Amino acid sequence: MNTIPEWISEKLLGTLDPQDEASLRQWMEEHPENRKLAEELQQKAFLEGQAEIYAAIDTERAYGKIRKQIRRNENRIRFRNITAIAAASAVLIAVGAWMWGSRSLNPTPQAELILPGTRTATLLTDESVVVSLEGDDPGLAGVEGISLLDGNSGISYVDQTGQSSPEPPAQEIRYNTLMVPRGGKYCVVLSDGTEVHLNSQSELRFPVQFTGTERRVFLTGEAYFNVERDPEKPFIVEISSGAEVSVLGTRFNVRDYREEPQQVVTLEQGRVAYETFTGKVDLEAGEQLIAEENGSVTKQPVDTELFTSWKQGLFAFRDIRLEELLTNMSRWYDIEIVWHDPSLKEILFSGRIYDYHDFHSVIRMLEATGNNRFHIDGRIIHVYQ
Amino acid sequence: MKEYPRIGKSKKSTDEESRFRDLFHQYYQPLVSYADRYLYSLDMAENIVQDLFLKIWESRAEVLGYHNISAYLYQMVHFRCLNHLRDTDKRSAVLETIQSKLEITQTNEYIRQETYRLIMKAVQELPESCRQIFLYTLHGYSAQEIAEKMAISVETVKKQKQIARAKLKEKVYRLLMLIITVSVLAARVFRSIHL
Repeated sequence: MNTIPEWISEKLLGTLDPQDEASLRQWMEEHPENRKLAEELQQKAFLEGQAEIYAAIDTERAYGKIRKQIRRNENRIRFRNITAIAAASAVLIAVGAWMWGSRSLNPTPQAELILPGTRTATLLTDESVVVSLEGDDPGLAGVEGISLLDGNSGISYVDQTGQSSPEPPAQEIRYNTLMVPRGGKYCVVLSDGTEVHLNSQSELRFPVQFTGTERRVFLTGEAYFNVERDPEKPFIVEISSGAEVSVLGTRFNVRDYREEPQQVVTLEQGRVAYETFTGKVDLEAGEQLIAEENGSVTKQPVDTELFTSWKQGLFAFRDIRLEELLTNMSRWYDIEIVWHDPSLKEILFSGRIYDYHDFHSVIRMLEATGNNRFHIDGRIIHVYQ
Repeated sequence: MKEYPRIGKSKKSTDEESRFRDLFHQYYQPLVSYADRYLYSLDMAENIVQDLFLKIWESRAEVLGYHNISAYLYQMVHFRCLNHLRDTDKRSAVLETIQSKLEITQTNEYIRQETYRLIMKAVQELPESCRQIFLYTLHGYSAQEIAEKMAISVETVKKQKQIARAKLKEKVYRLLMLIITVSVLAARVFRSIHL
């Protein structure tokens, strides 16, 4: 349904070019419903019906009304501030009077909008310099060899000067750690060109420059790797309990949150090996490996997009349990979930939601499809029937 | 469009305000008309859309930056209507009919409202001399009938119709590239926010 409203409107206006005309005709043939709709829209009755409805809707009056409402809301905030100042002064005069006054003036607290997360992270360099990576101008000035990616969505360690500096001796390996908080996502391009997307509440420790015979990084939480191919130096992701994922060059997702009982590796392309102290499992493209706490390891084919789309800002899920869905979202929206009825955790959901929606819109979508209701109390979300 | 005193003072807030006002004026009627198809009550539909715009104002910095605000607006109205129906306990009855054909109804209604909005937008941008004539044409009146209705000559009607077509074509070509990019995005976002 790409340009359908445009096509039909242009058809009516007489400005539709032949190519779009053909596309419109094709769309109409796809489904009898489509044909019916397109024909209806080109009829006098439709235009007249719409004109009649429009005539009954007074845009200017409505705009005046909501402007008044906006002013009232904004004055209320101002009033609240004035009340606070007045109250503070009153403290100096009589604490008792203030207690009484504030109680009677106390405005009802408004529900705060739960906004989505942002591109944010904290960088810890080996000199223990802490850099907060947020907004347009993160304080990277003092840190050598790091540049900011487009749109401030991440940082890069790729040497911009073009001259490769000599490999430092092994004992001089310098490590940096990138920490992404709840409500954040961030991207880092390592010195070999490997791209790592870090999800909320995740941490990656990596050498500023790779030396020696391997490229080894350390992960907690979730990250998507697009590894620059280098058959000479395998790329190794070390996760908790000494498990390792090693590759030569490919794209894959690793998920190992402390509070979740399993480790999940999803392979989009190429081959990876998952290795623990007890054994090694090879993974093919399109496969997912789940390692449980008790040591059992299983493999299954999956639709990898469902496990990697987070890096493009999309929550995609198919028959996912509500609990799992909300756990993922709670990291991005930085919220806590309270279950008033544990059976609700098992409801299955399918769908796609972009991560730039505020949480209220997400709730509206969930409520529209399920039997569950949500109550928002600050950053705590109550789920009940 | 009427001039309103500014709400805010800074340059940024004036800019946001005028974009908010444009958004409101472009979409208020289509969205109310869309909501009315769910609620069968213009009053309720107006309330829901006004309420949505109040919310948008509160998070305007973010919402005004959305790639595809059109799909977002229709989607939000859709959910608000469903919520309203549920809260007033008409949900079960109405949803019987809506939800079984939820996707197709929602999509058709979106196409319906957007088509009309785009037509009216194009017509409104025509010079005044040919606007009314073109509107009559759209409604299927012949040149002869229009000439009679407006008490002008058939020649004038034909000439103004030609001018209108030329103006529209000119505009369409200029906008073509932009429209294609925007609407491809629109379709994608619109589809992906179906749950």
